[in-house]
Amino acid sequence: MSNTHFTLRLLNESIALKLPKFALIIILIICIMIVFMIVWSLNIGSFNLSFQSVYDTLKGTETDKAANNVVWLFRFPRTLAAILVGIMMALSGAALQNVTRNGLADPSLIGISQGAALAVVASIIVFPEIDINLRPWLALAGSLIVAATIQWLSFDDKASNSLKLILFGIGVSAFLSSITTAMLTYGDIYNASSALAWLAGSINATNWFDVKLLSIAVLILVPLLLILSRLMATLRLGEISAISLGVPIKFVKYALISLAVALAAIATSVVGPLGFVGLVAPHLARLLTRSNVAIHLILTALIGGLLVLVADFAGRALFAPLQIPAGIVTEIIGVPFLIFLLLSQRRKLNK
Amino acid sequence: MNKIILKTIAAIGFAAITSFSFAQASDMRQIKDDVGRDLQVPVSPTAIVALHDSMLTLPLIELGVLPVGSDGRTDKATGRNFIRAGKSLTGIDFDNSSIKYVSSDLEKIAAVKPDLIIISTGDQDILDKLQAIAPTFVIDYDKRTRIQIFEILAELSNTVAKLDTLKTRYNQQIQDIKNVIDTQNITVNVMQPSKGKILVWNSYFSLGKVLRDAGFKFPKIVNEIKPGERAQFSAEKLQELDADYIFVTYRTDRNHTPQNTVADFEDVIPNFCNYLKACRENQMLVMPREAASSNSFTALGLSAFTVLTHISGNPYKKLGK
Repeated sequence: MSNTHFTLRLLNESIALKLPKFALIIILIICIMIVFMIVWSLNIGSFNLSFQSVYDTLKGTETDKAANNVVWLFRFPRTLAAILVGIMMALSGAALQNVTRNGLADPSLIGISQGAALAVVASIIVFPEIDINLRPWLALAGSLIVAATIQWLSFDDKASNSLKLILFGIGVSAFLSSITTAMLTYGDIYNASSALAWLAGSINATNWFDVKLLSIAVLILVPLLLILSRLMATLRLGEISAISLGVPIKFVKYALISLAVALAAIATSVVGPLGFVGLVAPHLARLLTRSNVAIHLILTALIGGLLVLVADFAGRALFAPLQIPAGIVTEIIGVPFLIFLLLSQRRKLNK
Repeated sequence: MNKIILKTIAAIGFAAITSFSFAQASDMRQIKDDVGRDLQVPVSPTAIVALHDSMLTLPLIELGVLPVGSDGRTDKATGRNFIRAGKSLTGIDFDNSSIKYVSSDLEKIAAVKPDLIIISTGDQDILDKLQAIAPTFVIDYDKRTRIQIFEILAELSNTVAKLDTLKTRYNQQIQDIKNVIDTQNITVNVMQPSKGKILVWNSYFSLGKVLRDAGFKFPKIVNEIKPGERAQFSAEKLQELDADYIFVTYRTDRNHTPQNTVADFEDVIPNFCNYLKACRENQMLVMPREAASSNSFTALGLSAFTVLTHISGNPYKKLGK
């Protein structure tokens, strides 16, 4: 055991992990912050409930129907959904930044938000008779179709091409956004405002079914991403180095992009487009501590969860009863961060 | 013997009172909402939440029902919440009534303990949660005319008699116009300049209804717009949009004045008045948008009065002459 690392030995030392102490401390602090935010989020809202009343409701001894509704139907599912969505968007961004080796990559780069937006806005404005319960599935289908199209366009016979992925992503996304904008401009005013509300990315409407769906997705997709973390580490060295180390580049890239698409598409289908989480969380994780890929992914996931939880809480509590969608809050945080990132990169290049 | 009779009468009285109270509290009826859901709603709801100010709350106020909670607007400069056209059309707003501003905050809605919630299809994403608070009736604006929205609101709030009175007044106002104006031979149009284009509806809400019901004619290009929808035109179409009388509006809820609308027209084309005969002949009438567009019988009345007083009795220049 060194001063900077801690070695975790499991199953009679058949698994031994060397973990950086500082990163573990940061992870612990963020976990504590998330728990604190969960408690705060369950206790604060427009409906006045004492801490004792919330505690009784969670224990099942509170008899007031309104209190039960507020805690179990409104606050609890949206709190959990915020964390899960944050984890998924953040990891999607981390995987994309790794595979494209571009620090500005995030899920909107590969058309996920735009595909979902086009599908949902079309259903609201052009086919308003479509059942609202089909919206998440339409969003998922839209995301997957567009992401698959961009991948198909950007892959050539020889190998995957990150620059082509970015360029096709920007082009296809811009094309889809223009169609969505046209529908919003010319569509019925009430339907258009309903579509705009969805586009703002809100966790307000999430329920326990959504939490289950997101939980299942996290439980399946996150371990798969962690399994790929060693290969992701070799990708950081560049494609030639990775190939010389025997890494199946094409497979890893396909797998990472597919995981990134699945994570962001499922999250977007539930809450709508949540901008900048996928961009900000991996960078914040890197700013906080330098670590191996697996630890970085865990840290990124936790920061993503905390970020969306704070954004949702701020959006519902700061200006209550006005409900600011979490997507708007994450963008308010994300845009200055993006500018900071670009300026700091320019400074590095100038040195 | 007398004691027995008195006790019996008292018992019957008590039973009658309690059963009446119970019936009052529990009187529910089944109704199908606009998205096909069968709902159990109170026969006479006492605590309604309406999640759209100008489409749902205003009509309820005019029907004599003060909702316990409503969505509304926020003045960006002061942060004040208000019901659009609430004070100008009904005299009632959040700051002088018991109506609470709930926005679409589920917790605020739960806090006012409604026994009926009325929403539009635009709020369906939170329908399950609203339904957990109270029976929630969804109104589809695409399936109902504005009068039909009034009718379902009157049915839900048990105020059909009041609606009949309002309808009678409106029908008389339309008849008053027909009595003194040869509406069949006058063309009219309602335009809204916006971002360098002209928006035209078929027809423009309350004012449009008054003009149609009174029998005025509209330009062909307007009749070609699908009923209930709007179209956007460039300045090139101004002459096709021209009519004997043109109505334009300005937003009072944003402290706009008629000058804002004139400026918006100038954005469409400089010296716009040269291209519209109605404007050149001083037959372009300006009125507050809230009175022309709100879902309100007061708005219908104001529109009817504006039409009556500005068109009747005045010699006017016919388009093309």
